[in-house]
Amino acid sequence: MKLIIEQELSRQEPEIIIRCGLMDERLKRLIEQIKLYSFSVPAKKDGVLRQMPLEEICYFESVDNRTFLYLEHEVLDCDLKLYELEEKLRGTTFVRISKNCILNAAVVAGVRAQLNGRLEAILKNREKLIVSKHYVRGFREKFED
Amino acid sequence: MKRKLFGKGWLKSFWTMCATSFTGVVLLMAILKPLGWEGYMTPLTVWQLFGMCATISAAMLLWDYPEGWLERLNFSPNAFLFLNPLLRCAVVCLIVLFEGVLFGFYPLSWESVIGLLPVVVPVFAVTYAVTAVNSHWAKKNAEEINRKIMEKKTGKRE
Repeated sequence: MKLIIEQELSRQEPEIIIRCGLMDERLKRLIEQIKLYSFSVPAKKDGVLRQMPLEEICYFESVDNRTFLYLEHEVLDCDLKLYELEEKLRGTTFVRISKNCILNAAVVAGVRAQLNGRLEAILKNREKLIVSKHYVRGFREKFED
Repeated sequence: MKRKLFGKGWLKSFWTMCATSFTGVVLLMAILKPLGWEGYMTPLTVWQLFGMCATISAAMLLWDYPEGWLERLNFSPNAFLFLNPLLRCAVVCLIVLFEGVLFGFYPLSWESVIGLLPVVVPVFAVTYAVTAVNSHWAKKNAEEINRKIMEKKTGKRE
């Protein structure tokens, strides 16, 4: 793979163009990482709107029709619905793990099996989330090459 | 493979187990009645059966703890594979026996124990097999994902 970096001081915003033949899994992973570091999600805390970079977000959870965004040690309000986020985060490291939760696979430190066929994801901040049986396949695919 | 007691999903697991076993018992009785079974159902027996199913479900979830201790006793994997369901089945039989005696379904005797086994053991075996298959696949998935996470962390491929 060739990496070309062109630096122009007049440029306002960095631009990434990927030219490739057939896209393989490694390239898909690279694109996921680029998206992770270049996109952000608007979220509110105490009425103040912030743009949260994706790599800082652990997971999104929907409770009583409200969406919350969880950072390592902070919880923020998000105006987007889970299905809107799922669409927006397609092709990133985020994956739906239950009806009310979208998790960033990049923050998963380990996984444990449960007796009922579900998985328990242990995050880097030691928090634990349940991966429903219905979403296990999609979750596993996020870790495949 | 232990769940955190009263952690996320505990109530759901309990409710699924309890509802499934209660439905199974009631259907079994409905099937046995035309075949000459002499028992009868009253609102009280329905509640008693539900209580029995709830106790068994709670006992199966609580059994995760002694199971954890057993795992640490260094049994060979094959011995543990047989010992664990055997002990779980014994717990179920004991609960069914004592609650059955308590509710007046049958007297406390060896005949009652022998009479219960042909019903309890097959129902337990089927339920356990379904759960074991589910947990086997979950375990495989967990191992695979953990391997990938380790590879990413260390940068080494196995």
